Amino acid sequence: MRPDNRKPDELRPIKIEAGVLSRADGSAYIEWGQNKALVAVYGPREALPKHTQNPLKANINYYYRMASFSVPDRKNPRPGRREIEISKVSQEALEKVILAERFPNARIDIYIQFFDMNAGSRVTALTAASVALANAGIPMTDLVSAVSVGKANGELIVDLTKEEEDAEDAVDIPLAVLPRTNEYVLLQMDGILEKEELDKALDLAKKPIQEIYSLQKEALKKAYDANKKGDINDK
Amino acid sequence: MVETKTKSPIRKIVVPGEFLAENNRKIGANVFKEEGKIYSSVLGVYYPEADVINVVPLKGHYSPRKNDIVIGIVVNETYNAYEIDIGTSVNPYVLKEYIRGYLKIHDIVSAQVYRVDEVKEVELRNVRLLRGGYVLTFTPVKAPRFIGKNNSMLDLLKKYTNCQMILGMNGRIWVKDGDTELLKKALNLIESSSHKPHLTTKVEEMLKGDNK
Repeated sequence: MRPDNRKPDELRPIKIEAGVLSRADGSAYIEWGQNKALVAVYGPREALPKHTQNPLKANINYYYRMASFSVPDRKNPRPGRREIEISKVSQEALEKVILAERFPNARIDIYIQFFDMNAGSRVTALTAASVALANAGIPMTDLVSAVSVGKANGELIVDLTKEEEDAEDAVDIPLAVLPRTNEYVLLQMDGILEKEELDKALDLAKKPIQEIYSLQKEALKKAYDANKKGDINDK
Repeated sequence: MVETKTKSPIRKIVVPGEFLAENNRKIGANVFKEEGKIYSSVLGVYYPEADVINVVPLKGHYSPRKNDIVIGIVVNETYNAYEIDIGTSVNPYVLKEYIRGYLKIHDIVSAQVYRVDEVKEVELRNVRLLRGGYVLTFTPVKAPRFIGKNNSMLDLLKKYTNCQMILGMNGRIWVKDGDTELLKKALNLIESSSHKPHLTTKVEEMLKGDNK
């Protein structure tokens, strides 16, 4: 049994809202369990300084940031090793889907600010970031849906909380998937698993990924008065 | 209220990567083919019954095309040229020899896109100063909705608000005189419900209602 009485493949409650910031080109707000984050997308705009410009494609900049009050001990607001690393891997995940070659010499900035967090924040950020990018009208081949899987107290589980991550035998695997093709665009692992266990854990993620994907689609369509299937109500 | 509502085509909002149709169809804008299937590449409106599979985007940035009329703002002046902000990622420069008279920084101008190169940099011609008035903005991909079929929407707006206006394809409208408050309301309505059926009738109802 898990500490919060969830089933092994049950997600924490997720709420996604698209288009919450009026000054940004695209934005999203996400609440995933205790995680709360705001994502803003700006661009495509001119890449500056000029030497960063690439005439073949747009640069994608991903800024994952935590508020100083988002964790129990005060977080130094200066981006540290952890934030820079998460920004890098998440940016590479999104580069797989964004059609950046349409915007030569431009850049697309994605800013993520966490207000509250409790494990699985990089998957929360990626999920919301792909909603914000679609909301900004940036062409992509797919959305990115992310979830963490792993092991705690001898059981393979989905969407670990901080309490579970601190278990003796805990293994945490943040995973980002393209829901259309089931390609992995981010896979990290903290801990040790047998090969069979890893395969099982990845299989376990398939259902929650589709759940997250449908939540993302719903959030995007809801901003335009459409129902789940995308049909527009004529009022 | 309105008797002559024609049956509007089925429309659907799709997200990037959403499956649209099998391969044996003609494809248009904002879609891509992969492994024999057609998918959307943007958040937009899809008409399943149309002959050509394409997606009309709901939001997006301005992608310049030849002969577009755009509204620009002078942001810088060099000894032989003006830098004009037209909402593209790189601001175009216009040589002073192509402009009659002089411009100041912050002047509003209308211009025509003369050439777009492979990195989407723009050359402007026919730059003209617009005296007075101000600029309203909207998302550039909705410019066709603001114009309407055969200019129907623009004509409607001009008729009811008596504004002078020039619509730039880059998501800016220059307006002067007339009932600009009513115009703003109408523009907001168009922007927020451009993806829904019977847009022109809705806007006309709203304009008529406010005139009474």
